Amino acid sequence: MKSILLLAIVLLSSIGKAHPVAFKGATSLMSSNEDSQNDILLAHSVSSQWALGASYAQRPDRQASLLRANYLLKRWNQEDSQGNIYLGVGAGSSRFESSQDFLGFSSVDADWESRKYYIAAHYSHFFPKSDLNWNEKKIRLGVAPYLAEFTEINTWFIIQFSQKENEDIRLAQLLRVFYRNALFELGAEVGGGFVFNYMIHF
Amino acid sequence: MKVVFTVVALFFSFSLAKANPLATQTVGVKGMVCAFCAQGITKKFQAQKEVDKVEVSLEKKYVTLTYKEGEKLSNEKIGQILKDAGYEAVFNN
Repeated sequence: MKSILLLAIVLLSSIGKAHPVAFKGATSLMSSNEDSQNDILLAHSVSSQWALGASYAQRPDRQASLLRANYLLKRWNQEDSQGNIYLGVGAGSSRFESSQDFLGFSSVDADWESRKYYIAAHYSHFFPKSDLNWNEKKIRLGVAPYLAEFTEINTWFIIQFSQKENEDIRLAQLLRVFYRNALFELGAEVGGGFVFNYMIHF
Repeated sequence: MKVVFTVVALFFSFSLAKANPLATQTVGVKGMVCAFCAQGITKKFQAQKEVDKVEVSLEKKYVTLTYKEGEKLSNEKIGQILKDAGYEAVFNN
């Protein structure tokens, strides 16, 4: 049960990785890492609305591989801000000891950001078997301590609330730094545990 | 005397040609609020053979395109490039 729960963590957690669909023709390498878990995703944006890719997740007692698709359902481009709603699906397999099971995944992401403020919400639903359902919820709030230009290093302070299934809500503080096509996030959870995410566009 | 005049005339014509700046165009971009957004937009425009240089201002929310000599992108093309990048063009002209 613990292993299944662990697998439910952020297999497609695009909330930790900025926009899950980038500009047309972009290839993105994304990774999220917490205590005892590592996820990596390689995705290609075939248009400004669709991104296709594959992900791999490593847990102490199992591994998972998925083919994935993310879709930009709606974007609001405003003069000083941008809002987005994304949908995600995935299918693949997980390996636990000698057994291999089907994995399915779906997610919804919404975000809004200006140069100064950032808010994002994430819901993902993970179903290793038809009679087992797991989900994860996240909310993020961010503020930029200064307004950076394109050629400067951008910095954000982010607070993240997350909950897996019916576990307690966890709180994490993160420092996000990005420059041009590379983004890094380093953080710590209240009560212990680290968070390290990165994303690179090619 | 005629030769000297020709040389001087050629010198000034080259100097003037060199001083003549390349054509630039500034286009507003709705939704461009982060460096990641700007990165995609820059990459898209730099891939165009007509474009020599791309400059982005997040503060002023616009992109300045410097064209190669005799080259220019149509507003329609610029709008499509920005759309492919996920943004909207705002033309002032």
